[in-house]
Amino acid sequence: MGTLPEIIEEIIRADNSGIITDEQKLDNDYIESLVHEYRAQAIFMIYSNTKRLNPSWTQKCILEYDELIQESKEYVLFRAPRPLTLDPIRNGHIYVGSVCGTKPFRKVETRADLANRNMHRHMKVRDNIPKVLYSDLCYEVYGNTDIKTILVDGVHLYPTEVITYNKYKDPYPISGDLLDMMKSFVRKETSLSSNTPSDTRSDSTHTPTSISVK
Amino acid sequence: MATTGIDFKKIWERKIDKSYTAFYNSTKQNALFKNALINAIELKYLSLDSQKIYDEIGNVIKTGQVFNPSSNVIFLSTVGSPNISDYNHLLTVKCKYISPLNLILEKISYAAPIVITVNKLNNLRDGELINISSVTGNTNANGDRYIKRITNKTFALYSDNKLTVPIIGNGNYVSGGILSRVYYKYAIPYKSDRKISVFGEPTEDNPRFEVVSGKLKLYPTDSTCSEITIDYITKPNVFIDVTNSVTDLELTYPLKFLYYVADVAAKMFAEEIKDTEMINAAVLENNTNQ
Repeated sequence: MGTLPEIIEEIIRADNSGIITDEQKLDNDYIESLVHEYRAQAIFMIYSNTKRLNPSWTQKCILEYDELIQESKEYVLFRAPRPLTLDPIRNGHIYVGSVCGTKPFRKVETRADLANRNMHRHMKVRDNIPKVLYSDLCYEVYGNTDIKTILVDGVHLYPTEVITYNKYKDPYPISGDLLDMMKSFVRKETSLSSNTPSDTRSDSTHTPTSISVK
Repeated sequence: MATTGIDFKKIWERKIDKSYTAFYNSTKQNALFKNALINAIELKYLSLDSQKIYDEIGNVIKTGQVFNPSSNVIFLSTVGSPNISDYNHLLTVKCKYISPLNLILEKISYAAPIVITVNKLNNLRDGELINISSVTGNTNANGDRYIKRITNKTFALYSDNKLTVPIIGNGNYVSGGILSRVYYKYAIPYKSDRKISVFGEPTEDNPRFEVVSGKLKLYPTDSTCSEITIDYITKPNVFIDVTNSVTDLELTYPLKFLYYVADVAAKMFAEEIKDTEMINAAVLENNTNQ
């Protein structure tokens, strides 16, 4: 699969008869936001039918300890990219755990769940697996305050939020079938805007030049 | 065979009724042809989308010209500095911005190539251009350097983008070092009615430009654009002199383009004397010779 700028250029060229210039109507940043949005939508649709995640959609992200964002001695905070919501129960982060990839932490969905586990007389004593709670763009890791790096592997809402992702060099995390679906979504959105003539009259209303004004 | 100013005048006289040329002395003719030349370049510029058109005005196109802006501005006339004195029309412009990376240099090896170690995970990749400054000790690390990724946090330094010419260390690393990423990307026009857009905001890797008040302004303005590479159409510096029998105009303009200029001049002359038949004939020849 191509990089994100290549995908954006393909979409622009498809709307402009194969030509790309510096005078295009739609900003690259706007098309990029559509690409992320429609990728998420396409993944959600496919997952809803198949309940399977394609490995091409996932990205590994190693989160490092940052002294400046720590708030409490009870847990360790790691800033994390936003996960894609796959269904009401599951989000796109399929693995959160040790960097070696073999020791997953226990994902907790809410603080109530976390509190229940900490109060339960069995779980409190026997459960020595760290627990993680995603909140406010960060993972809170409970049960091991010496931890310095964690691995998050999964489908992120915005691939560019992964700190090790280089949008100019790395392939965009998408599979071939998803790419076609996503491009058709984006092109439906952009071709209407591209084909609408520009409003060149400064009269505080949208009056494209091909429409005659009486 | 050369085409001088005198030859050009004969070409033009064949296109118009010679009895009228008595009204035009050589000064007026030179002025007419200067006007026609400028108009012809403008007309070719407006349809600049095929190699044929590029060939015709190739001598007034400059590409890959490097300039260093001051406060993200370049003047487009001889007034002000820095300036592009022969600027006529912009084709494309590439802007160089340096964006600081949130990384600290921990180690720099005294070897060939120099290997640097940073403190955090990052998204640097093979072949990227970075700027290193303020390194003491192993000062050869300073400057614009291409990197080859060895591990997530270690990179070797090269001076070429094919990563074949290593940067050789010249001492033991003492301290310091600021790492920045170098962006050298093509800019797109920054129109006033687009400034309201959140998506249209210029960034170092998505620069914009404006041509206003006789200046080329580069955005973003809160970062310094240290260099631009510009393709542009120049003002012509060789004009047609109907008394000149020495200067070969074909050294500057292709013969086909000179015929086109003659057509444009014939049309302008016909409009001046209000000869409708001559205007129509000139337009027809103009369209044929395009």
